[in-house]
Amino acid sequence: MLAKPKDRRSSENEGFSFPPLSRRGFLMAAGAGALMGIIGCTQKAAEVPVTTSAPVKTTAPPKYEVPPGKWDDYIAFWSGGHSGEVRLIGIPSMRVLLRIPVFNFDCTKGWGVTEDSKALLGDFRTGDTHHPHLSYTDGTYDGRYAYVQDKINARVARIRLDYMEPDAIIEVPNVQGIHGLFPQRFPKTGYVFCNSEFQTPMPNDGRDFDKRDKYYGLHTAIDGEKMEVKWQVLTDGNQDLCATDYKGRFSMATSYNSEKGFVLEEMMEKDRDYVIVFNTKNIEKAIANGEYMEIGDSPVPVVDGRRNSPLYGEAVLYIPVPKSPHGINVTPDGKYAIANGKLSPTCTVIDLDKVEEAFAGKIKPEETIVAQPELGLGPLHTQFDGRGNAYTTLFIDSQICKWNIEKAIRQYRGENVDPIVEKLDVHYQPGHCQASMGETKEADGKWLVSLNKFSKDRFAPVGPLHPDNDQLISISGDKMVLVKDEPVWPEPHNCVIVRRDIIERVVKKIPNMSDFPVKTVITVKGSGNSRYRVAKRIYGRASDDERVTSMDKARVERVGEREVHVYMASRAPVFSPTSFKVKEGDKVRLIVTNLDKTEDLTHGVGIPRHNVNFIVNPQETRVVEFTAGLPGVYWYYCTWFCHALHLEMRGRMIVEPR
Amino acid sequence: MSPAKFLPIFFILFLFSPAYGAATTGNFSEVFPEADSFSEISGDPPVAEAYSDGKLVGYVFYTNDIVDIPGYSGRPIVFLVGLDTYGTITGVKLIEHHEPIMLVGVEEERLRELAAQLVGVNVASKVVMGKKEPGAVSVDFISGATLTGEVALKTIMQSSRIVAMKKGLLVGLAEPKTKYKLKNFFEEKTFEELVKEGSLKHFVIMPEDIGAEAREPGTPWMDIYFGYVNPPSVGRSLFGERRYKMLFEQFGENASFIYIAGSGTGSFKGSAYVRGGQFERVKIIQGLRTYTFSDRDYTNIFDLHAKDAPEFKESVVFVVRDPSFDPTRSFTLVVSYKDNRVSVEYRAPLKYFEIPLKDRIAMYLPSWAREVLPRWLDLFFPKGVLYIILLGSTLVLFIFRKKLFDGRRTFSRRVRYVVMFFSLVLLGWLQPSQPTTIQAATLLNEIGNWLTINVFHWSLFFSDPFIATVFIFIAIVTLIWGRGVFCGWICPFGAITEFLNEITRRRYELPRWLHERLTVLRLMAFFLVVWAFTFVRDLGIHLGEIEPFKTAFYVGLNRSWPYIAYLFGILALSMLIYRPFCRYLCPFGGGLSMLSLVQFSRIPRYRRCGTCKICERECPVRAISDFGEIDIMQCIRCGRCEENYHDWDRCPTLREAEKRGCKRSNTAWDECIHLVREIREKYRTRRQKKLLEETP
Repeated sequence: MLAKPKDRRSSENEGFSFPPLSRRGFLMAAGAGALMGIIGCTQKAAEVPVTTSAPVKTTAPPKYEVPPGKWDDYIAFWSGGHSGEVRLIGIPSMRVLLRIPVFNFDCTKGWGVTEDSKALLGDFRTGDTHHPHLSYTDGTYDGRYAYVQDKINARVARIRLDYMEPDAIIEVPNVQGIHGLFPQRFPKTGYVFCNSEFQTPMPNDGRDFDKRDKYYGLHTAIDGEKMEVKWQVLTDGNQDLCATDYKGRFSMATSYNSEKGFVLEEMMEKDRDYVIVFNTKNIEKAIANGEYMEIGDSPVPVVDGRRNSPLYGEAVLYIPVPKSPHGINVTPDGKYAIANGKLSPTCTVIDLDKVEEAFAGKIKPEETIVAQPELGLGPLHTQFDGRGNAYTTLFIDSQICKWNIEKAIRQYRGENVDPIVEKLDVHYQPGHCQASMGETKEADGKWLVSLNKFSKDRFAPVGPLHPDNDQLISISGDKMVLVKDEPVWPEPHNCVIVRRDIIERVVKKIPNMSDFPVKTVITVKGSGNSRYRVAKRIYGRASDDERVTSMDKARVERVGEREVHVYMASRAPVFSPTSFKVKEGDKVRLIVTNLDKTEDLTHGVGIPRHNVNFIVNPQETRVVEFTAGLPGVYWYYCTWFCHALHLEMRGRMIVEPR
Repeated sequence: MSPAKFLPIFFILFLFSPAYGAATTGNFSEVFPEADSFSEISGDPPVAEAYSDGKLVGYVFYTNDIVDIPGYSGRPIVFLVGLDTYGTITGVKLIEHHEPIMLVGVEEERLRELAAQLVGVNVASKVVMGKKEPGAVSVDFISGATLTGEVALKTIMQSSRIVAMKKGLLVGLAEPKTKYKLKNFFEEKTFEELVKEGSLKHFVIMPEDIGAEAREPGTPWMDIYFGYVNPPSVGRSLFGERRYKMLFEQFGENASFIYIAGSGTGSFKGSAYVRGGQFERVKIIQGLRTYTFSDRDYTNIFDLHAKDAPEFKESVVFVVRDPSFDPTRSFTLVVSYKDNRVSVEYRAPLKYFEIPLKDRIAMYLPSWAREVLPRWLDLFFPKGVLYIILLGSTLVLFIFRKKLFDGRRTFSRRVRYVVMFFSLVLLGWLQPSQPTTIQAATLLNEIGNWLTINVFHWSLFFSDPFIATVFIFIAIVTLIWGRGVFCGWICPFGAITEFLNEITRRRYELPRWLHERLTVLRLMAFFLVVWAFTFVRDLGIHLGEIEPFKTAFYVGLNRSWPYIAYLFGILALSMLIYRPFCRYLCPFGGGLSMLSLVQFSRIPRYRRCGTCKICERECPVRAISDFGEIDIMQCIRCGRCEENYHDWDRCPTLREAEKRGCKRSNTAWDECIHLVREIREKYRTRRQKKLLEETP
């Protein structure tokens, strides 16, 4: 039933030539609803030894336990999915070290409570984070920033790695469903590219909603340092996952809905979809030449990358790949981009130097493809060990397939070699997988995490809602060894596994007092779905008057008939002042500085019946605003255990009747 | 050159000049009971001056104005401290603290008791807590609140030392660092090699060594390796290149890194740093300085690059940022647990340092010597060389004087005048270093301190190379030949007065009875100045003006008229009387006269010397009595009588001896029995005595 990929034949469709695609007819017959189950039943993979999760006796089991008091070798950045947060997880122990609220409301940190976080969040408190990635310099992590997208509200946030908190959030104009996000790897970040998965009419102001061909997606380039949108590219078809090369030439998107379908059947109409490659320099050139448009009242220049555009083949290239590709990953040596088949059992290996030739018009886009190994059912994402092997998650097969890239290329050339090295069962249905440093040129092939969407029976039952199951696999030896199941709060989509020293080098143990309170600068341009909003925090701009530098400088200032500013200091185990008076209905601005200088001596401030709960790290200053409620006494207290006399660390807010 | 630069004592002088009104009293007098008034707290360092009868006797300050050492609470413990001008703590009062231990368990009184034990302690003393240690002052340890106690101790001693140093009370505490550069070479070493070469020191603390409960018999409380890891061959071999470089990125290029790792049933990290931010179980001591660590000064490093490194339970790099730390010198790691301590001495292998020769020499000197060495070296050429030539040739002249006399009567006049001339130029004007009684009094005070509290500020004494040299010269020559070698040959003021007298050649003499009474004046002046300097310092300093040396050499004529009149009065008098100042007034000479009483090599006398009056008549200072004895306290060792003593043509005793058959020769005094018999018994040398015994 499956045709050998080497049996290439030409296709007349739109003038492209395609390798044979055998799955499609079958898929269409199976129907979308029962898709996975049926494929699962009928799967007949090649005769490859399948390693089960049974303990491997041949080699000593790799050590993943981290003894008490010792540190993990890697700190991984996990997306929180629906929670809208980013999590820091130690590898190999898989212990959660930190949760960074980004797009969501979080009481522990006071995210969405403090004035600066509210300003950053803007109108939304829901988020859907998928792809956290760190800033790069010369193909590896430089420890400056992490970036993460919010699929629901089309936002991109940046996290400062020294304070491990978001310092900017951008609402990207004219797009919906920002899915793939990837920073420029070379010479440094630079651009942060993101893809819009959902096509919409342009502008999306109620027009053209029933015209399928008027729906477009935009590939967006953000300046990751200044945090502003530099330009966008209009494409036919949607854009799913995103990748960049190691030479600073291209960004890429997989496109699974080139049909612009509204419903599943429409999205499955054609035989093939595309990998869209964006040529950064040529796009910049086009903008410099004024070859751009603007959409709605958004000020962002948009370059036309549609197939009928004069810039087609110059700014963008559409490389045809089997139907409905998903992940796209670039090998650590920077030579190849690998598009994962999803509905095709294959991965498509694209030679990036040939892509450059294709942009130069020397070869056809499809001639950039150098291999198309058949790996198994539902390949979604591929990772690398830096030793020439690729690890591809097979969603439907519930397996990781380890295969050799060079062998796949030789097979495609017609040699009789089998690129598949080994397959390992995972539990169950993996989405992303991620190898240690696997997204950098320093991929070290120690660990691989398989982020499985289903845990089913892997953990003790706790009710209808099951955790996801992130599994740790050792890849340092010849064989993959599954070493750990980790239940996770749904739904992490992806993670990046970063060597500890990169993070250790930059994180602050104790904040600089002069950095706080942070100021937030908000820029809003455009309106409706074309709104382009940037909220950026500026550290180190406040003067000493705006914080409390010593306990005796705590003060209460009435600044108007209905407004009171309370400058409060905390030092274990007391607040200063120990009480303050406001009038019913006053707008109260509470500025709290934690004067403790000891590492880890954080204080919290909670005020009953006023929706106030936030923390202040040593030397930090945080600001909240609320309206004083009904007359009475309200005990504000330290919510973060700080001292033997922590429970005594409280004071009274006295609300007087007006 | 300002006077303060070469004479630290002048600091004190200047401190007396401003007259502050009394301001805040009350509180301050609790820590300085001797003072009757205090100034406001001001200046840098912010201190209040304490006065007694209008003169400065010390300082009072709040420790938190000087140092910021967080206690267990993360906040400093504040004391009010009184410090006298000798650097001795006069009182300590606990002002404020937030130590939680004190609030809930251990009584605050313990902290007050600890502070009380520091009263009377000099800031130069080494102070330890708990067990007694030779050469150190020991204070009681606060059971259950070690860290609080340590912080209190450090707060008081460190702030006092800073005040003492900034106020110039203690020159000796500023220990200069060796100038060094880490050699850049890298050689991969195994853990074992690092231990072998001494870069890492290994020691074991058994539970009984440190008073801990033995949880598993035979298992160490801590089996520790530690060392200075800045050299690439040490740090990179241990941690790997990336982690090694990171240390410098994180903590700065100038930090010193001390790696400590260990396993066992105990812990050197303890847990006080978690809440209080301070490690209470490890510290480093180098000289008088103690380096403690806060949670900002450490990082865990577990994944060692050196493959043969043992697995450690605790593995930490502590950071010394204080630039006073000198990794080329030895230091002590102190691990303490409750009131027990284990100290281990460490010295980094010197092969990893590039040290200039000057500093390499200095490393083997005591700290005070290292402090003064640069100055000595800077001044060595040409002035130092001239000094050596001058003082050295004077010594040579005296050692070989018999041979040099040899019938030529040039020694007491021409040779001495040449030496005096050069002394005047060199010690008087080129590099003023006329010794004064105030300096002598300082030295005596220091000796007193040394005898009582075992503190001697060597660096203070040696801070001016020339004055120190002159003092050492005086000490040597006075013990051998009497103070006359200095007074009659080297003293520049003596030289001036003698030269002036030589111009006029008028030598009026006082009547003998008055002369004899007046000679006592110098001795009284000496005692008066020393006493006053010790007990009423500003009076002493004013009394020191009896010597016009300051006007003549140090400060010059740019002073108020009474000083100048006084100087010129003495100079005028010198033109009429031979060395009137030296003979009747000079307190310094008076002091030296007393020291002269113990001299070894006296000018010998013959039996007949009383009857013959040649020497008595010729003695310019009239030191020879009617009986021919020389008054050692008066003698300026001009050498005239000594020349006569050896003069075969002039001395009646020698002429007589020649008649009896003694031959004129340099050795006659040891060989001719007739001559030996004429020498007064107490001046006979051993050789002469032997000759007498052998001769029937």
